[in-house]
Amino acid sequence: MADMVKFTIDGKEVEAPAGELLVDAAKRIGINIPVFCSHPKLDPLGACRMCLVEVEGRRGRQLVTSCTTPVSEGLVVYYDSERARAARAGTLELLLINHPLDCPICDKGGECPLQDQAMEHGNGESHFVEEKHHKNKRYPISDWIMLDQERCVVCWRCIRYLDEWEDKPQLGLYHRGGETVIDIAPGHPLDAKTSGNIVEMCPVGALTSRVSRFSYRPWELSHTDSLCTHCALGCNVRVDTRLNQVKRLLARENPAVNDQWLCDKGRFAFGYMQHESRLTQPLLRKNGTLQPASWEEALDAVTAKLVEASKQPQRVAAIGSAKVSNEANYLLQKFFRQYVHSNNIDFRHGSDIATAGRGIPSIAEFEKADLFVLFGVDMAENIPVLDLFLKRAVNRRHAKVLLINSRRVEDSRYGTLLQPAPGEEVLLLNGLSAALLKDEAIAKRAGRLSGYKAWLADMVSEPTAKLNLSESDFGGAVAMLRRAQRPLFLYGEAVAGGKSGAANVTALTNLALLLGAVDRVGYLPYDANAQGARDMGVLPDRLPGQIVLSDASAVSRLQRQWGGTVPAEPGLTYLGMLQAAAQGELDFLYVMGSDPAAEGMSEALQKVGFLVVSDLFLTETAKLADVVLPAADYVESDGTFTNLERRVQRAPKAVRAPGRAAPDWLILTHLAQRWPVVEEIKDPKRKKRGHGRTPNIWSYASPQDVLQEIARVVPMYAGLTWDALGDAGQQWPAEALPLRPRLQSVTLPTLSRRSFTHWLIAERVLYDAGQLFATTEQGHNLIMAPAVHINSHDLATASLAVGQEIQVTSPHGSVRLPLLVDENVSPGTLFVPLGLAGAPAEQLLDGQYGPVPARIEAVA
Amino acid sequence: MTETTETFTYDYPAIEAIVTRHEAKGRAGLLPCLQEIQAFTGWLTPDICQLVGRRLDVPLADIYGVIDFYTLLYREPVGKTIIRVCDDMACYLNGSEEVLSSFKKWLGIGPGETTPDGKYTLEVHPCLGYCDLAPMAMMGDDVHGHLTPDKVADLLEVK
Ligand code: SF4
Ligand code: SF4
Ligand code: FES
Ligand code: FES
Repeated sequence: MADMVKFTIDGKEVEAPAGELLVDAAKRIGINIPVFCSHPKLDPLGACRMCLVEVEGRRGRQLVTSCTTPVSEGLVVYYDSERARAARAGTLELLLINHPLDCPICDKGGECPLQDQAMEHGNGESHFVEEKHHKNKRYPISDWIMLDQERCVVCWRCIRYLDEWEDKPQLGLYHRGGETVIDIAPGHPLDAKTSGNIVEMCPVGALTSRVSRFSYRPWELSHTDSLCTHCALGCNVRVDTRLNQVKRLLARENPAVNDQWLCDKGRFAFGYMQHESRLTQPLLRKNGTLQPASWEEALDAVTAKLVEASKQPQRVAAIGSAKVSNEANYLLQKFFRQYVHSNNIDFRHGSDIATAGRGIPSIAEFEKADLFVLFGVDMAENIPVLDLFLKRAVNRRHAKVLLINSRRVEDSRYGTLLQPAPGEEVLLLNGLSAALLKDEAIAKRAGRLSGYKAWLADMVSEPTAKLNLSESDFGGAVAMLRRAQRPLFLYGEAVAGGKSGAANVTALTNLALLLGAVDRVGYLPYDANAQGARDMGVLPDRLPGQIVLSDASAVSRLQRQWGGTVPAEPGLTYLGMLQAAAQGELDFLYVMGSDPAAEGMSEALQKVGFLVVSDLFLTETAKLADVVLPAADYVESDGTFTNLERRVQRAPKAVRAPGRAAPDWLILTHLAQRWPVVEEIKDPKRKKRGHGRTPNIWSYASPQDVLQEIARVVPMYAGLTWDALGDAGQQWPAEALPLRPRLQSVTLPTLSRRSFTHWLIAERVLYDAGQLFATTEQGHNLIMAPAVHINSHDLATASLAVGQEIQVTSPHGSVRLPLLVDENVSPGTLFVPLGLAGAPAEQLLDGQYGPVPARIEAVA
Repeated sequence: MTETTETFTYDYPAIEAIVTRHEAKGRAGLLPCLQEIQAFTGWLTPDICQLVGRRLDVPLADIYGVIDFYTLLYREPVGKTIIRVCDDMACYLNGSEEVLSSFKKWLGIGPGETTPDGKYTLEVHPCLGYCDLAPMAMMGDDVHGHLTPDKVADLLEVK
C-alpha cells in the first residue's frame, strides 16, 4: 500500500495515495475536473490546459494542470476559485476560436466533452470576430477513420494511443500554433489493427468512424451490453441500435478481458448483421432447387429424414460451431446424443486439434509473465487486442518474447524468432529441452525421468545443424528460457492441428514442464466460442464438461439428467465425418453455423444423403443443402459464449432477427419436440418403460432455461445463471479440468514433402473475404488479395516473376494464383492466407490442416 | 493522401554519410540531420524521410511533423534560391507591400510559388529579426535591407 497523504481541495480534506494525480484524486471525492488530453489509459501529458486549478506554492497561488500534478502532503488546491474558473473558461475560449460550428451535424454532438465542458465551464461568449482557420474536414486517414482537422482540440490522445499501446506511431502533429493539425505521413494511412480505439478516445468529433458516420444521433440510440464474437478473446462491447438496426459497436470496459479496447474488425465489421444477403426464410430443395418454405414444412422434412436415418445412427452426423453460443452447441449435441444416439458430433478445430481444452491460463497472466513463448501464433492477425497486452508487457515491463514460427510475424519485432521448417518444430523444441537439461536445477526437476532424458539426448544431437539455425539464436533462446521466472507458453491452431499437432503440443508441454510452468501453457483458438463448444461436449469422444465417454459415473449422471441412453462408442471427428461423407457413408448431416464446403469439401458434401444447414447466409454448404434454416445472429438472441480464458460471458439480444430467421436453440428445440418419441411419451396409453430409457421432453422456453440445464450438467459451469454472469462474466478455474502432466517422449511427426518442392502454410488473417467481414463495405480495400506469398530467394531459384500467375499444386488440389514476394515467408515455404476470395488455400488443403506439400510452376 | 511522386536524384553516399553521423543520437539528431541533408538536396523527398526515419528510429509521422513545424524545412520541391519577404510590423509600415509586389511582378509568381525555371521560390515571412533594415527580404542566406521596387529589380538583375 502506498503512503497516504492528506491535502485539501476548496477547503475539503482529501486522503489519497502519495503520487496519485490530482485529477484522479479529485474525481474520487466527486469533483470532476474537466479534461481533454488526460486519459486514464495514457501517460500524463498536460497539453490542453483544460484542467487548470490553483495550488498554494512557494510563490503564492499558482495555476497548475491537475492532470500532471501528483498530490502531496499538505497540498492546498483551489478548484472553484475565481482565478481557476477564469483560467478554464479562457482555455475553452481559446479552443473555440477556430472550432467550427458543426455540432448539428457532428457525430459527437450530444456526447461531446467539448460541448459539455463549454456549457459547464465556458463563458458563453467569445472575444473573437475574425474568420476561423480552415483545415481539412473530410480527410480519410484510413479505410475506417475520417479526420476533421477543424474539430481537433490537439489533445494528442490519438497520437499517444498509437504510440503507447499499439506501438505504431502513425499519427503526428504537423505545423504549429493555431495551425497545428493531426496528420498521417503522406501516403501512409493508418494500418494499426486496433486504430478504431482512437475514435472512441477522441474527446471531440475530429475522428469519426466511416462505418457509422451520420447514421445516428447519440441520444436516439439504445444500448445493449454484449460481446464481440469475431475472435476468441470475447471483447466486451456495447451494441448501439436504433429502430432495430445496429448503428455502432463501442468498447465496454472489462478490466479482466479487453480493458477498454476493441480491434478494428470487432468495432467496424458488423455490416454482416443487417446485410441484404442474410437468410430470412427456410429453404427446401424441391425438384433440385432451393425454394422458400414455411418453418413447418422445413422442420417436418428434417424430422422425417432424420427419423429414418437414425435407424443407423453411425450414418448420421452433426457439425457444431465455435462461432455460435453455448446454448445452441449444447442443444445440438444433446439432440444428436439423446434422440439420434449418435456421437458423430464435432466442430471445425474441435477434436482434430491437440489441446488440453483449457484455453490460456488467464488474460491477466499477460501482466505478469516475463517471457512469452509464441509457438505458431500470429497474435497481431488473429487476436489483436491480446496483442496489445503483449506489446504493453514488452514495452513497459520489458518482458521477453521467443517466437517459434516458420513465418516471420508482426510480433517478431519483439524478440528472437526461431524458424523451423514445417515438421521440424518437435526437433527444435526437443533441442531446447535437451539444452535446458544441461542446467542442474532443471535436470533435478526432471529427476526421476532418466528414461526421458536418455531418449531426448539420443534424439537431439546438434539440433542447430539439423535445423539450419544459427548457434547464437538457439543459444539466445535457451538463455531466455533459463532466465525466465514466469514464462507463458502459447500455441495456436497453426501448430496444434493436423498430423503433427499432438507431437507439437506434447513437445511444448515437455519444455514447459522442465521449467515448472506446465500450468502456464495456453492454447489460442481462432473462434469466439471454441472453448465453449468444447465445454458443451461438441466433440465425438467427450460429453458436456469435456467428460470422456468411458467415465461411467459421469455417463450415468448425464443419463439421469437427460433420460435415455448416451451412445458409448466415440463418434467421427470433423475430418472423419467429411471422409465418411466422401465415401458416401453419411445419410444425414446437420451443419450448424459452419461452412465446410467453403473449405474445399463440397464434393464430399454432395454425397451426403440429406444435408441440413442452419446459418446466417446462403453459404457454399447451404447451397448444397436439402434444407436451409435461417439462423439468428448472436445479437438477435440471448446466449452465452466462453472465451479463451474460460470466461463465460453473456450476449443478450439487441435487435430482432431479419424476416423469419430464428435462433439455433429454438430451431433445435422445435426439432426435438417433433421427435416421434415425444408423441409416444405424451400418449397416456403408452406402456411403462424402464427408468432412464426414455429421453425427457424438451421444454426450454428461453436460452436462460438452457443455461440453467448447462449449469446442472456441466460440472465447471455449476451454479451459473444468466443473472449471476453479470457484466463481467465468470471464469471457470483451470483446475476444474485437471492435467496429469508428465514428460513424454514424442515421436517425430513423419511429414514428408515427397516429390513436392515446398511446404504450404495457410493461416488466418484478420481481414479475410468471409461473409462476416466482407459484407462491411468500408473494409473491402483491406481484404488481402488472393496470392501465394513466396520468399525472394525461392523466387529467384524458380526463375519466376512477381505478379505472374502461377499454378500452385498440392496433393489435394491445384489453383492459379498471382505471385507475391514476401520476405516474412521463409525459403522452402509458401504462404496462402485462409479465407480469401475463391478460397485458394482451402482448395489446396482440402479440409486438411496445414502444412501440406506443394509446388509452384509457371502457367504455360 | 497524395504522395509526392517526384523523386530527387541525389548523391546517395553523401546523404548516407550525413545520416550515419547522426544515427546514434536517435531523435535528438533529427533536426541537424534534416537540415544538413536539405542543404545538400534542397528539399526532403519521401525517400529521404523514410531513410532518416528508419535509421534514426523516428516514426515517419513525426518526421513530417517536424518538417511542417519548421518553416525552413521543405517537403516539396523548391527553387534554388528562396526569397523571404518580411511583412511583419516594421517592414509593413515601411512599405513591404510594394516590395512584395515588385518581386511578384518580376518573378511572375505569387507567394508560395516557384518560378518555372526552378530558380526562385517566393515566400512571405513574419519578422526575420532585421527590423532596423525594414523593409527587408532574404535571398537564400543573404539579407537585403531598405528595399524599394528599384532595388528589387537590381537584385533580380532584370533591368
Ligand atoms: S466536436 Fe463537439 S463541439 Fe465540435 S462540432 Fe462536434 S459536437 Fe460540436
Ligand atoms: S484528433 Fe481527437 S484525439 Fe486526436 S488530437 Fe485531435 S482531438 Fe485529440
Ligand atoms: S487535461 Fe490536463 S492539460 Fe489536458
Ligand atoms: S518586421 Fe520585418 S524584420 Fe522584423
